[in-house]
Amino acid sequence: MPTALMSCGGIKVRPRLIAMMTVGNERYRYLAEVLEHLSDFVDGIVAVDDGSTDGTADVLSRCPRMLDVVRNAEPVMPVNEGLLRTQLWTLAATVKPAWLVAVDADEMFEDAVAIELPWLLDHGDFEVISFRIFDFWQSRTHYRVDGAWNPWPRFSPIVVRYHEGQDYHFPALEIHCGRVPWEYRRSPFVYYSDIRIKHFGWANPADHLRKYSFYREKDIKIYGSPTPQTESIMAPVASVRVEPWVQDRSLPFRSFGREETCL
Amino acid sequence: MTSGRVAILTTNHFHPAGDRIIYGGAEKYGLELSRLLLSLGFEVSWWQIGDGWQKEILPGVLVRTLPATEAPFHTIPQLNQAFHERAVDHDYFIYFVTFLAYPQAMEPSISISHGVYWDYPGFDATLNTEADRAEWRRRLWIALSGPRRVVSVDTATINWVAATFPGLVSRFEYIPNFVDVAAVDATEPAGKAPGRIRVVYPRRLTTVRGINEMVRVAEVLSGRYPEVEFHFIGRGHQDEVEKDMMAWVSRHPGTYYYWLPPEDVLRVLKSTDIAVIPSKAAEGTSLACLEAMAAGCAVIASWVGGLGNLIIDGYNGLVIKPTVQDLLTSLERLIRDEDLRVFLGRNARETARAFDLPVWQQRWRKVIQSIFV
Amino acid sequence: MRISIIMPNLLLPDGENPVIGGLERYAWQLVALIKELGYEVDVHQFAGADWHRQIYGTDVYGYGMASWSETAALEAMHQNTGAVLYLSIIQAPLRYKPRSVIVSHGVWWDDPAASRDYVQRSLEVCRQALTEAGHVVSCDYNFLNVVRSLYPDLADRITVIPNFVDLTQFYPSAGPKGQLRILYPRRLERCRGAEMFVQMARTLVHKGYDDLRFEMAVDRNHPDRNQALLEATRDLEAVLAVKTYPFEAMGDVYRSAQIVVFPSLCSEGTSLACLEAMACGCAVVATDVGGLTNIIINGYNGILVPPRPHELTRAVEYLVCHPHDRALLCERAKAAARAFDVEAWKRRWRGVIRTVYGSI
Repeated sequence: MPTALMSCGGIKVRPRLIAMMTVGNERYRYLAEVLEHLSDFVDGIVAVDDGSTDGTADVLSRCPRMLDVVRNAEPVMPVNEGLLRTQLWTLAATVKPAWLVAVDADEMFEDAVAIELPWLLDHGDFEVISFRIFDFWQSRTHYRVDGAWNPWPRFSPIVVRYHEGQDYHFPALEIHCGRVPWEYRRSPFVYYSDIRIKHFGWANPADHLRKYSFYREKDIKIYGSPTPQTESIMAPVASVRVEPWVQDRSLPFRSFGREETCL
Repeated sequence: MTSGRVAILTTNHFHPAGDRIIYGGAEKYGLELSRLLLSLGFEVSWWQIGDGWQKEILPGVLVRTLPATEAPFHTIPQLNQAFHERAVDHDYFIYFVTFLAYPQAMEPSISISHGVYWDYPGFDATLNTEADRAEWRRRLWIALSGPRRVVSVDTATINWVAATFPGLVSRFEYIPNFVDVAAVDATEPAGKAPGRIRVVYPRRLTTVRGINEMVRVAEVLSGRYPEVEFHFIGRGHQDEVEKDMMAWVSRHPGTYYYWLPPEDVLRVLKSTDIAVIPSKAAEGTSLACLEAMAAGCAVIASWVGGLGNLIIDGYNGLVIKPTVQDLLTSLERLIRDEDLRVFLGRNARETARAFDLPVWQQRWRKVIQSIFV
Repeated sequence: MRISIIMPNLLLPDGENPVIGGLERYAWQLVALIKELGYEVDVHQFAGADWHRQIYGTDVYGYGMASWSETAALEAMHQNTGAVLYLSIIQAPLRYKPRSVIVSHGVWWDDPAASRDYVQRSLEVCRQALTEAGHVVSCDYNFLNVVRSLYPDLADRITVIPNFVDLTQFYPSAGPKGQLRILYPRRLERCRGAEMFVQMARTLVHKGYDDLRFEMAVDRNHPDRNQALLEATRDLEAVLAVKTYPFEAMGDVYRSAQIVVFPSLCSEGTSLACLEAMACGCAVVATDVGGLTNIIINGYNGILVPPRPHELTRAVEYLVCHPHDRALLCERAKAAARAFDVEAWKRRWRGVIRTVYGSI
């Protein structure tokens, strides 16, 4: 059971930043790496284990920052993503965090996040922080940029300020319902961060067919035929354009001189 | 007991679909203006382009939306009309940008000019024929002659009006932009290694703001002066620009590209030696320049728009023609001459006080009390 | 190599006496600089008759045909000269010589009473000058800004060189100044706002400020105007003096005043007089017109007001009643004026002259 308030030297404080993720059979992919990465800058993690059968549960339980895990006996994602997201949100809400970061089990921020994100959270009056997500394509060095894969014009809401007592909803969509509630998408108080997110879901070519089949089936069920975006997963090599990842140079003033928070 | 209800019309400060804020400092300006009106006992509401949402930006201050889809000749008559229909029960009106008062101004009203924005060749290209230009000018004249007062953030605009529309100048009032000196003074500087000279370009990466010249100069000087850091802090107008900038920075040691929320940019400015504002056009009394001045930076500014209202060349900054050559010469001069840097920075800090927020509030109060009573 | 300066009137049309004014002071300073750089220099101007004078070691030529056609006079000047420097934008139809410099002293057509026609014609004159000239030197950012917003492609030819002040002649007084004196040190021209100054004086006197003394240090270029002014201010005789001083005396005049007023309505660059007053440590009140806004930061080294009588009066009254704030403005005016030192001006002009006219 998670504690709604965290203890810091005997004084109860709301956790500042909690990560929330849905996980389905991620043990042999990037899960351990991602959890370690998150542990650098979040106060705690909550997860919904969506019917994993590969020992994902063990990896989750071994993470020292894990506050709570809810396990679905049968996977909900293939049925309705909206339900899964709602389930995760409800779990996260029990922790009553100040902020939530909604990452997937195969995503990591670039290194700057550990210093800059906590600073941003303390000092902004925005409701949402949006980031660009870079889809690494068949490698861990290059990301895809053709067509709708181009990360440069797109920002996705990933970090949100949580308000206790407010009602939040996810659209009742079977797929692509987004990872933060609908209420945040209408907020004018968005901060667009220059910190980038690296998505490794497409980094291993072995995953492509499985994911393509999943999305293709969904498209046919919902729309009657596969969408161009889904089809582009299997695009011929000649039409796929990638760019090399350029490492961020760390800023020459990493510390803004703030106090360490209690964890 | 309320002093009355003020309705403020703007284009789009708050865009839920998530586009870049058009004016940058305009949001800050709008908030401070709202606070001032509230302190004088007015009720305040904002109106902007949108599809029906509304949001509270300050306690009791709501932003509501009005439909508008076209902007012929750089005016938005649809928005103007909708505002008249919806805000008719208010007592006082502010057109946050001058052209929004076309074709009709409510009574009594004040409009605000944030500077000349039509002084670059690209603008000319949006009005293809002489007839188009004449129509734009005609509409601008109507927009300027409607409200009782036009508050201008610089004298360049007032002078332009004097030189173009004889007789309209009498309704203008010069109230330059502000900087919250106390807040800047209280800001902790970001860290800096000893012996480094920090040069900052604290603007958007757009051609009109002089990014190309700045990049060129940084390329030359970063090789020559390894102790100098070149910081580019700001969003690009297009995403490709941000990507290119990131890539460029990775190839040039001593250069950094990032962006931060405004308060954090202040922290960087507090540790900055030289701030560069090489705008080529479309500039009022730049908030970024004022912040750099208040933070004690030695400022290099171009001789465009309202920048001439802020900097006296050789006293509290250097004023240059925004070319690569002139920027190179002046920047190198400041890099090599610490005494001059310190002299300019110290005077910049002092002159910034003449633009302190309370001064701005006092000037606005005078206008509000004479028009809205 | 000889550079010929073309200008309306360095000397009065009869060629007998120098014209008193900022434009002419500018001309003399430029003449000196051009000589310093090793060129030869002479001056060609409009006149009532043809004459040739030598004054302060410089040849000045008057062209009589200007009295019936300025354009004809200018053509004659072109024929008599090689390299040319136009000291101001000529308000008559003219083809400027290529590889020349034209000096702009500010926007001149911003008169609130100007007709649309006048504005249009003036803009056309401007556009033509910019198109034909190799180089334009503007004394303020205002002219450049106006040009850029009207003719963005032509703005590149403009270099801004703000006006100058000779700090050896204009410096603050050593001791306290005595009675509070308010000074108007401009020509008696409508656009210089003499009327607004008188109105301000009258208002303050009627408000009961008995200790104030007002002085108008004006020109004698139009004696009838001086006469009219005296008559219009007879009621203020006791407290308002109208005087004319030779230029060399102006330093002392500024040094004896605490508040100096520049109530221009229009047609203003980076006024030499304003810089001189600042250098002498005076508290300046100026209208926010033209280039005055480039040398005064409102509330820092002077006060800027809109060109409206009651605003001007309020500002002057404020300075009268707040000696501490006034002293602060004076200190800073003095410091800021140093940035306009004539040496800096010369340095900038040197660059332009070498670039345009090349070697001797």
